[in-house]
Amino acid sequence: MKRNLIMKHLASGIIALTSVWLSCAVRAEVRSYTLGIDVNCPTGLGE
Amino acid sequence: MPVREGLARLEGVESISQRPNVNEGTCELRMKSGRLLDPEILSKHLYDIRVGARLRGLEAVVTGSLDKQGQDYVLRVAGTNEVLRLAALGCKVQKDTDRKIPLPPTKSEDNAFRKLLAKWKGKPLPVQITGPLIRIEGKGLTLEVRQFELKP
Repeated sequence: MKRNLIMKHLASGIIALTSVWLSCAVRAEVRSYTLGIDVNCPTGLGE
Repeated sequence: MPVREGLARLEGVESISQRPNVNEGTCELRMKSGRLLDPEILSKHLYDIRVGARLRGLEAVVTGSLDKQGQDYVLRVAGTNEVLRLAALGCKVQKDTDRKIPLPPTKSEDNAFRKLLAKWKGKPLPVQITGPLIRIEGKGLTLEVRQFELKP
């Protein structure tokens, strides 16, 4: 019974660690882009 | 088709700013999972969608570590195998739309690359760099340093 409980906690720990690892793996390293755009149309970039 | 809608069709785009910065002729864009965007692909995409728009330049905010590779200083983009060659700021992406010329760099922006290199102590240094991302023939992607912030 006690052993099952320990295994259950261990499994939860592994799942939590995996989630943290996965979230780090997909962490945004290029935060954002600024695009310099020249437009020919009269409405411009405002569209 | 509006420019914003056309940009949103590019694969991997997460969001585009609702309103452009009309004074500087720019808009903000984010890619899913912080993907690195090739300026040539973006330029071709803008041309291909035929909205009468042209990519003047692309600036990126990139996190990674400052390192040296041969004679070049580089930014190793964290979590990827991407390596961006670093260079001093050439021409800003932001434009004075009234005068139709690129905004001149401030003194701090002019000195940013030199100041960053002064921080180099021979081992990888975590840093966030903001600046124009350009592709140079034979040298690959180059990130020009306009601003930087050291990371803990």
